[in-house]
Amino acid sequence: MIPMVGIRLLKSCLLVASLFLLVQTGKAQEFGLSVSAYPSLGYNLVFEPGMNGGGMAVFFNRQKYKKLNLSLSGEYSLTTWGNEAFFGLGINRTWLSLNRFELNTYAHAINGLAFFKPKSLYVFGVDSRIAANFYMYKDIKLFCGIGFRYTLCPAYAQYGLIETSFDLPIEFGIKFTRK
Amino acid sequence: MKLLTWVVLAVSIFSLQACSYLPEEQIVTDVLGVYETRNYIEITPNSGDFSKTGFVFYPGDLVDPHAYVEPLSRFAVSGIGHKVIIVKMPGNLAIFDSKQGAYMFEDFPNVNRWVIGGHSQGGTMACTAVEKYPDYFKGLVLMAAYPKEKTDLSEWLGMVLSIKGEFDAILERGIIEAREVFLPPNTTYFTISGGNHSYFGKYEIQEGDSEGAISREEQTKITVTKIQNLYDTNGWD
Repeated sequence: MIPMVGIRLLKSCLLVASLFLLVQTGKAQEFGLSVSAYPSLGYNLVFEPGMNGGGMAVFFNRQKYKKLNLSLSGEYSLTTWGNEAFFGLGINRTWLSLNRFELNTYAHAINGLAFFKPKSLYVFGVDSRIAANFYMYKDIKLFCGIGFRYTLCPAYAQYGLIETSFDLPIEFGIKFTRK
Repeated sequence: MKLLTWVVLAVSIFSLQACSYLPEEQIVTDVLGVYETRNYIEITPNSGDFSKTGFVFYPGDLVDPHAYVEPLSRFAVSGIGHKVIIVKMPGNLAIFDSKQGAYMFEDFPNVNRWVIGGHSQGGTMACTAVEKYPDYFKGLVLMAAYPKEKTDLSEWLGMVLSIKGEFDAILERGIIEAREVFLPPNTTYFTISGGNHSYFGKYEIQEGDSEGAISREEQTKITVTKIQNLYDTNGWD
Protein backbone atom coordinates (compact mmCIF):
# COMPACT_ATOMS: atom_id res chain seq x y z
CA MET A 1 0.00 0.00 0.00
CA ILE A 2 1.33 3.43 -0.97
CA PRO A 3 0.61 6.14 1.62
CA MET A 4 -1.49 9.10 0.41
CA VAL A 5 1.48 11.46 0.71
CA GLY A 6 3.45 9.10 -1.53
CA ILE A 7 0.67 9.09 -4.09
CA ARG A 8 0.52 12.87 -4.15
CA LEU A 9 4.28 12.95 -4.54
CA LEU A 10 4.16 10.46 -7.41
CA LYS A 11 1.42 12.44 -9.11
CA SER A 12 3.44 15.63 -8.72
CA CYS A 13 6.49 13.87 -10.15
CA LEU A 14 4.48 12.83 -13.20
CA LEU A 15 3.39 16.41 -13.73
CA VAL A 16 6.86 17.86 -13.26
CA ALA A 17 8.45 15.16 -15.42
CA SER A 18 5.96 15.86 -18.19
CA LEU A 19 6.70 19.58 -18.04
CA PHE A 20 10.42 18.86 -17.95
CA LEU A 21 10.07 17.08 -21.28
CA LEU A 22 8.95 20.32 -22.85
CA VAL A 23 11.85 22.52 -21.81
CA GLN A 24 14.84 20.34 -22.69
CA THR A 25 17.42 21.95 -24.92
CA GLY A 26 20.61 20.66 -26.53
CA LYS A 27 21.02 18.29 -29.46
CA ALA A 28 18.36 17.57 -32.06
CA GLN A 29 15.13 16.87 -30.34
CA GLU A 30 11.56 16.05 -31.07
CA PHE A 31 8.43 16.90 -29.15
CA GLY A 32 5.14 15.33 -29.92
CA LEU A 33 1.59 14.57 -29.04
CA SER A 34 -0.31 11.41 -29.85
CA VAL A 35 -3.60 9.67 -29.26
CA SER A 36 -3.87 5.89 -29.04
CA ALA A 37 -6.54 3.23 -29.05
CA TYR A 38 -5.79 -0.06 -27.32
CA PRO A 39 -7.27 -3.00 -29.15
CA SER A 40 -6.50 -5.91 -26.90
CA LEU A 41 -5.47 -9.51 -27.42
CA GLY A 42 -6.43 -10.56 -23.93
CA TYR A 43 -5.72 -10.37 -20.23
CA ASN A 44 -3.98 -12.55 -17.67
CA LEU A 45 -3.64 -15.82 -19.62
CA VAL A 46 -6.97 -15.45 -21.39
CA PHE A 47 -7.12 -14.85 -25.12
CA GLU A 48 -10.09 -12.54 -25.58
CA PRO A 49 -9.80 -9.90 -28.31
CA GLY A 50 -11.56 -6.66 -27.42
CA MET A 51 -10.89 -3.04 -26.58
CA ASN A 52 -8.94 -1.83 -23.58
CA GLY A 53 -9.74 1.87 -23.93
CA GLY A 54 -7.43 4.57 -25.18
CA GLY A 55 -5.14 7.36 -24.16
CA MET A 56 -3.11 10.38 -25.06
CA ALA A 57 0.58 11.01 -24.65
CA VAL A 58 3.23 13.68 -24.88
CA PHE A 59 6.76 12.60 -25.65
CA PHE A 60 10.24 13.87 -26.10
CA ASN A 61 13.02 12.28 -28.15
CA ARG A 62 16.55 13.54 -27.81
CA GLN A 63 19.28 12.52 -30.20
CA LYS A 64 21.96 10.45 -28.48
CA TYR A 65 23.72 8.93 -31.47
CA LYS A 66 23.16 9.38 -35.18
CA LYS A 67 19.92 7.42 -35.43
CA LEU A 68 19.35 6.51 -31.82
CA ASN A 69 17.34 8.75 -29.53
CA LEU A 70 16.65 8.79 -25.85
CA SER A 71 12.88 8.76 -25.53
CA LEU A 72 10.68 9.97 -22.68
CA SER A 73 6.92 10.04 -22.52
CA GLY A 74 4.03 10.97 -20.28
CA GLU A 75 0.73 9.29 -20.93
CA TYR A 76 -2.80 9.46 -19.66
CA SER A 77 -5.20 6.66 -20.48
CA LEU A 78 -8.65 5.26 -19.73
CA THR A 79 -8.59 1.46 -19.53
CA THR A 80 -10.15 -1.53 -17.81
CA TRP A 81 -8.67 -0.42 -14.51
CA GLY A 82 -9.93 3.11 -14.76
CA ASN A 83 -7.78 6.19 -15.19
CA GLU A 84 -4.03 5.82 -15.38
CA ALA A 85 -0.97 7.97 -15.90
CA PHE A 86 2.38 6.62 -17.02
CA PHE A 87 5.90 7.90 -17.27
CA GLY A 88 7.87 6.10 -19.99
CA LEU A 89 11.60 5.88 -20.56
CA GLY A 90 13.28 4.11 -23.45
CA ILE A 91 14.91 4.38 -26.85
CA ASN A 92 13.73 5.46 -30.25
CA ARG A 93 15.53 4.43 -33.44
CA THR A 94 15.09 5.56 -37.02
CA TRP A 95 15.45 2.66 -39.44
CA LEU A 96 14.60 4.23 -42.75
CA SER A 97 14.66 7.80 -43.97
CA LEU A 98 13.51 8.70 -47.49
CA ASN A 99 12.70 12.26 -48.57
CA ARG A 100 9.45 12.98 -46.73
CA PHE A 101 9.11 9.56 -45.10
CA GLU A 102 10.67 7.99 -42.03
CA LEU A 103 10.21 4.65 -40.32
CA ASN A 104 11.12 4.35 -36.68
CA THR A 105 10.51 2.27 -33.61
CA TYR A 106 10.52 2.87 -29.92
CA ALA A 107 10.53 0.73 -26.81
CA HIS A 108 9.60 2.10 -23.41
CA ALA A 109 9.55 0.79 -19.88
CA ILE A 110 6.45 2.39 -18.37
CA ASN A 111 5.68 3.09 -14.74
CA GLY A 112 2.62 4.79 -13.39
CA LEU A 113 -0.46 4.85 -11.28
CA ALA A 114 -4.04 3.74 -11.73
CA PHE A 115 -5.95 6.48 -9.93
CA PHE A 116 -8.13 5.17 -7.13
CA LYS A 117 -9.45 6.26 -3.74
CA PRO A 118 -8.50 5.70 -0.96
CA LYS A 119 -5.20 4.59 -2.54
CA SER A 120 -3.88 4.60 -6.09
CA LEU A 121 -2.34 1.41 -7.46
CA TYR A 122 1.06 0.97 -9.09
CA VAL A 123 1.00 -0.04 -12.76
CA PHE A 124 4.00 -0.93 -14.90
CA GLY A 125 4.83 -2.59 -18.19
CA VAL A 126 6.49 -2.33 -21.57
CA ASP A 127 5.34 -0.53 -24.66
CA SER A 128 6.93 -0.94 -28.09
CA ARG A 129 5.76 0.58 -31.35
CA ILE A 130 6.70 0.98 -35.00
CA ALA A 131 5.66 4.22 -36.66
CA ALA A 132 5.52 5.64 -40.16
CA ASN A 133 6.30 9.37 -40.23
CA PHE A 134 5.40 11.82 -42.99
CA TYR A 135 6.96 15.28 -43.18
CA MET A 136 4.33 17.97 -43.58
CA TYR A 137 6.94 20.71 -43.32
CA LYS A 138 10.67 20.67 -42.66
CA ASP A 139 10.17 20.36 -38.92
CA ILE A 140 6.67 18.96 -38.53
CA LYS A 141 5.79 15.30 -39.02
CA LEU A 142 2.53 13.41 -38.82
CA PHE A 143 2.83 9.79 -37.83
CA CYS A 144 0.83 6.66 -37.31
CA GLY A 145 1.99 3.54 -35.58
CA ILE A 146 1.10 0.14 -34.24
CA GLY A 147 2.73 -1.84 -31.50
CA PHE A 148 2.60 -4.14 -28.52
CA ARG A 149 1.93 -3.18 -24.94
CA TYR A 150 1.92 -5.27 -21.81
CA THR A 151 0.76 -3.73 -18.54
CA LEU A 152 0.41 -5.12 -15.05
CA CYS A 153 -1.38 -3.83 -11.99
CA PRO A 154 -0.58 -6.51 -9.39
CA ALA A 155 -2.46 -4.86 -6.53
CA TYR A 156 -5.69 -4.86 -8.53
CA ALA A 157 -5.85 -8.64 -8.05
CA GLN A 158 -7.29 -7.90 -4.59
CA TYR A 159 -10.36 -6.37 -6.20
CA GLY A 160 -10.88 -8.04 -9.57
CA LEU A 161 -9.69 -10.88 -11.73
CA ILE A 162 -7.90 -8.87 -14.41
CA GLU A 163 -4.44 -7.74 -13.41
CA THR A 164 -2.56 -7.85 -16.72
CA SER A 165 -3.39 -6.77 -20.24
CA PHE A 166 -1.87 -7.52 -23.65
CA ASP A 167 -2.73 -4.76 -26.07
CA LEU A 168 -1.94 -3.91 -29.69
CA PRO A 169 -2.03 -0.09 -29.68
CA ILE A 170 -2.86 1.97 -32.73
CA GLU A 171 -1.43 5.47 -32.55
CA PHE A 172 -1.73 8.77 -34.44
CA GLY A 173 0.16 11.93 -33.69
CA ILE A 174 2.27 14.88 -34.57
CA LYS A 175 5.97 15.56 -33.96
CA PHE A 176 7.82 18.86 -33.89
CA THR A 177 11.54 18.68 -34.63
CA ARG A 178 14.13 21.14 -33.35
CA LYS A 179 17.80 20.94 -34.33
CA MET B 1 4.96 24.34 -27.53
CA LYS B 2 2.45 26.40 -25.59
CA LEU B 3 -0.29 24.08 -26.77
CA LEU B 4 1.61 21.05 -25.48
CA THR B 5 2.14 22.70 -22.11
CA TRP B 6 -1.56 23.43 -21.80
CA VAL B 7 -2.46 19.90 -22.83
CA VAL B 8 -0.10 18.47 -20.19
CA LEU B 9 -1.50 20.79 -17.53
CA ALA B 10 -5.11 20.08 -18.42
CA VAL B 11 -4.55 16.33 -18.42
CA SER B 12 -2.64 16.47 -15.14
CA ILE B 13 -5.37 18.47 -13.42
CA PHE B 14 -8.05 16.15 -14.79
CA SER B 15 -6.15 13.08 -13.66
CA LEU B 16 -5.91 14.39 -10.11
CA GLN B 17 -9.72 14.59 -10.06
CA ALA B 18 -10.33 11.26 -11.78
CA CYS B 19 -9.75 8.78 -8.98
CA SER B 20 -12.23 5.91 -8.87
CA TYR B 21 -13.47 4.53 -5.56
CA LEU B 22 -12.02 1.11 -4.86
CA PRO B 23 -14.42 -1.52 -3.54
CA GLU B 24 -14.40 -2.59 0.08
CA GLU B 25 -14.18 -6.32 0.72
CA GLN B 26 -16.97 -8.07 -1.17
CA ILE B 27 -18.56 -11.08 0.52
CA VAL B 28 -20.46 -13.30 -1.88
CA THR B 29 -22.33 -16.47 -0.94
CA ASP B 30 -20.91 -19.64 -2.49
CA VAL B 31 -24.22 -20.49 -4.11
CA LEU B 32 -23.30 -17.85 -6.68
CA GLY B 33 -20.67 -17.92 -9.38
CA VAL B 34 -18.89 -14.65 -10.14
CA TYR B 35 -17.23 -14.53 -13.57
CA GLU B 36 -15.41 -11.64 -15.13
CA THR B 37 -14.42 -10.54 -18.62
CA ARG B 38 -12.91 -7.30 -19.86
CA ASN B 39 -16.43 -5.92 -20.44
CA TYR B 40 -18.52 -7.12 -17.56
CA ILE B 41 -18.83 -9.01 -14.26
CA GLU B 42 -21.41 -11.80 -14.33
CA ILE B 43 -23.14 -13.07 -11.19
CA THR B 44 -25.11 -16.28 -11.65
CA PRO B 45 -26.71 -18.79 -9.25
CA ASN B 46 -24.60 -21.97 -9.45
CA SER B 47 -27.73 -24.12 -9.56
CA GLY B 48 -28.34 -22.89 -13.11
CA ASP B 49 -31.95 -22.32 -12.09
CA PHE B 50 -32.80 -18.63 -12.21
CA SER B 51 -35.20 -16.06 -13.63
CA LYS B 52 -35.20 -15.64 -17.41
CA THR B 53 -35.22 -11.88 -16.85
CA GLY B 54 -31.63 -10.71 -16.48
CA PHE B 55 -30.50 -7.55 -14.73
CA VAL B 56 -27.81 -5.46 -16.40
CA PHE B 57 -26.30 -2.72 -14.26
CA TYR B 58 -24.25 0.43 -14.93
CA PRO B 59 -21.99 1.50 -12.00
CA GLY B 60 -21.80 5.10 -10.85
CA ASP B 61 -19.12 7.32 -12.34
CA LEU B 62 -15.66 6.82 -10.89
CA VAL B 63 -16.72 3.83 -8.83
CA ASP B 64 -14.94 0.55 -9.52
CA PRO B 65 -17.54 -1.93 -10.83
CA HIS B 66 -16.48 -4.56 -8.27
CA ALA B 67 -17.98 -2.31 -5.57
CA TYR B 68 -21.44 -3.52 -6.66
CA VAL B 69 -20.70 -7.25 -6.59
CA GLU B 70 -21.83 -7.85 -3.02
CA PRO B 71 -24.98 -5.66 -3.07
CA LEU B 72 -26.13 -7.11 -6.40
CA SER B 73 -25.27 -10.66 -5.34
CA ARG B 74 -28.00 -10.21 -2.72
CA PHE B 75 -30.42 -9.59 -5.56
CA ALA B 76 -28.98 -12.52 -7.53
CA VAL B 77 -30.09 -14.92 -4.75
CA SER B 78 -33.47 -13.29 -4.05
CA GLY B 79 -36.70 -14.82 -5.32
CA ILE B 80 -36.01 -17.67 -7.73
CA GLY B 81 -32.54 -16.27 -8.42
CA HIS B 82 -31.28 -13.86 -11.09
CA LYS B 83 -28.46 -13.43 -13.52
CA VAL B 84 -26.83 -10.05 -12.91
CA ILE B 85 -24.39 -8.36 -15.26
CA ILE B 86 -22.32 -5.42 -14.01
CA VAL B 87 -21.00 -3.52 -16.99
CA LYS B 88 -17.45 -2.17 -16.96
CA MET B 89 -16.98 1.29 -18.47
CA PRO B 90 -13.83 2.83 -19.95
CA GLY B 91 -12.19 4.85 -17.20
CA ASN B 92 -15.12 3.88 -14.94
CA LEU B 93 -17.12 6.60 -16.68
CA ALA B 94 -20.48 5.42 -18.04
CA ILE B 95 -20.71 8.49 -20.25
CA PHE B 96 -18.11 6.92 -22.58
CA ASP B 97 -20.22 3.91 -23.48
CA SER B 98 -23.89 4.15 -22.60
CA LYS B 99 -24.80 1.53 -25.22
CA GLN B 100 -22.57 -1.23 -23.91
CA GLY B 101 -25.39 -2.88 -21.96
CA ALA B 102 -27.21 -3.61 -25.22
CA TYR B 103 -24.17 -5.21 -26.90
CA MET B 104 -23.71 -8.19 -24.64
CA PHE B 105 -27.09 -9.88 -24.76
CA GLU B 106 -25.99 -12.47 -27.28
CA ASP B 107 -23.53 -13.77 -24.66
CA PHE B 108 -26.53 -14.90 -22.57
CA PRO B 109 -28.91 -16.97 -24.67
CA ASN B 110 -30.65 -18.33 -21.55
CA VAL B 111 -32.03 -14.90 -20.72
CA ASN B 112 -35.28 -13.95 -22.47
CA ARG B 113 -35.67 -10.36 -21.37
CA TRP B 114 -33.61 -7.71 -19.65
CA VAL B 115 -34.06 -5.06 -17.02
CA ILE B 116 -31.41 -2.34 -16.94
CA GLY B 117 -30.38 -0.36 -13.91
CA GLY B 118 -27.75 2.03 -12.77
CA HIS B 119 -26.45 4.02 -9.85
CA SER B 120 -26.00 7.78 -10.08
CA GLN B 121 -24.50 8.72 -13.48
CA GLY B 122 -24.69 5.03 -14.39
CA GLY B 123 -28.48 5.31 -14.00
CA THR B 124 -28.52 8.39 -16.19
CA MET B 125 -26.65 6.46 -18.88
CA ALA B 126 -29.02 3.50 -18.42
CA CYS B 127 -31.83 5.93 -19.32
CA THR B 128 -29.87 6.86 -22.45
CA ALA B 129 -29.51 3.16 -23.33
CA VAL B 130 -33.27 2.69 -22.96
CA GLU B 131 -33.92 5.71 -25.15
CA LYS B 132 -31.67 4.27 -27.86
CA TYR B 133 -32.91 0.68 -27.58
CA PRO B 134 -36.42 0.88 -26.10
CA ASP B 135 -37.37 -2.61 -27.25
CA TYR B 136 -34.35 -4.29 -25.66
CA PHE B 137 -35.41 -3.61 -22.09
CA LYS B 138 -38.59 -4.36 -20.15
CA GLY B 139 -37.69 -2.40 -17.06
CA LEU B 140 -35.44 0.30 -15.66
CA VAL B 141 -34.14 0.66 -12.11
CA LEU B 142 -32.67 4.00 -11.09
CA MET B 143 -30.65 4.22 -7.89
CA ALA B 144 -30.07 7.85 -6.96
CA ALA B 145 -30.36 8.68 -10.65
CA TYR B 146 -32.48 10.54 -13.16
CA PRO B 147 -32.60 10.95 -16.95
CA LYS B 148 -30.80 13.74 -18.76
CA GLU B 149 -32.99 16.59 -19.92
CA LYS B 150 -32.77 15.40 -23.51
CA THR B 151 -33.65 11.81 -22.61
CA ASP B 152 -37.41 11.63 -22.78
CA LEU B 153 -38.74 8.23 -21.73
CA SER B 154 -42.22 9.53 -20.86
CA GLU B 155 -43.83 7.39 -23.58
CA TRP B 156 -41.69 4.30 -23.03
CA LEU B 157 -43.81 1.24 -22.23
CA GLY B 158 -41.38 -0.40 -19.77
CA MET B 159 -41.65 -0.36 -15.99
CA VAL B 160 -39.50 2.03 -14.01
CA LEU B 161 -38.43 1.98 -10.36
CA SER B 162 -36.64 5.04 -8.99
CA ILE B 163 -35.00 4.68 -5.56
CA LYS B 164 -33.06 7.29 -3.62
CA GLY B 165 -31.73 7.74 -0.12
CA GLU B 166 -33.38 10.24 2.22
CA PHE B 167 -30.02 11.76 3.17
CA ASP B 168 -28.39 11.68 -0.26
CA ALA B 169 -26.08 14.68 -0.21
CA ILE B 170 -24.65 14.14 -3.70
CA LEU B 171 -27.79 14.56 -5.78
CA GLU B 172 -28.86 18.11 -6.52
CA ARG B 173 -31.84 18.79 -4.26
CA GLY B 174 -35.14 18.33 -6.11
CA ILE B 175 -33.55 17.07 -9.33
CA ILE B 176 -35.31 13.68 -9.29
CA GLU B 177 -38.67 15.40 -8.88
CA ALA B 178 -37.78 17.88 -11.63
CA ARG B 179 -36.98 15.06 -14.07
CA GLU B 180 -40.13 13.03 -13.35
CA VAL B 181 -41.65 14.44 -16.54
CA PHE B 182 -39.08 12.51 -18.58
CA LEU B 183 -40.04 9.16 -17.06
CA PRO B 184 -43.21 7.14 -17.76
CA PRO B 185 -46.25 8.14 -15.67
CA ASN B 186 -46.41 4.69 -14.05
CA THR B 187 -42.90 5.06 -12.55
CA THR B 188 -42.63 3.90 -8.94
CA TYR B 189 -40.68 6.28 -6.69
CA PHE B 190 -39.30 5.19 -3.35
CA THR B 191 -37.19 7.02 -0.79
CA ILE B 192 -35.16 4.91 1.61
CA SER B 193 -35.55 6.46 5.07
CA GLY B 194 -32.11 7.22 6.43
CA GLY B 195 -30.37 6.13 3.20
CA ASN B 196 -27.57 7.98 1.48
CA HIS B 197 -25.97 8.09 -1.99
CA SER B 198 -22.98 5.82 -1.47
CA TYR B 199 -24.62 2.78 0.15
CA PHE B 200 -26.00 1.51 -3.15
CA GLY B 201 -22.50 0.12 -3.62
CA LYS B 202 -19.88 -1.18 -1.21
CA TYR B 203 -17.16 1.44 -1.17
CA GLU B 204 -16.20 4.26 1.14
CA ILE B 205 -18.70 7.09 1.57
CA GLN B 206 -18.27 9.49 -1.33
CA GLU B 207 -16.83 12.92 -0.72
CA GLY B 208 -19.72 15.25 0.01
CA ASP B 209 -22.20 12.50 0.85
CA SER B 210 -23.80 12.12 4.29
CA GLU B 211 -23.26 9.09 6.47
CA GLY B 212 -26.98 8.33 6.40
CA ALA B 213 -28.98 7.09 9.36
CA ILE B 214 -29.11 3.42 8.46
CA SER B 215 -26.41 0.87 7.74
CA ARG B 216 -25.23 -0.09 4.27
CA GLU B 217 -26.64 -3.55 4.99
CA GLU B 218 -30.10 -2.14 5.62
CA GLN B 219 -30.01 0.05 2.52
CA THR B 220 -28.96 -2.93 0.40
CA LYS B 221 -31.74 -5.07 1.86
CA ILE B 222 -34.41 -2.46 1.11
CA THR B 223 -33.07 -1.89 -2.42
CA VAL B 224 -33.05 -5.62 -3.20
CA THR B 225 -36.59 -6.01 -1.86
CA LYS B 226 -37.81 -3.16 -4.05
CA ILE B 227 -36.19 -4.59 -7.20
CA GLN B 228 -37.60 -8.05 -6.40
CA ASN B 229 -41.05 -6.47 -5.98
CA LEU B 230 -40.69 -4.93 -9.45
CA TYR B 231 -39.93 -8.38 -10.86
CA ASP B 232 -42.79 -10.04 -8.95
CA THR B 233 -45.35 -7.37 -9.86
CA ASN B 234 -44.58 -7.78 -13.54
CA GLY B 235 -44.35 -11.55 -13.49
CA TRP B 236 -40.74 -11.52 -14.68
CA ASP B 237 -39.69 -15.02 -13.83
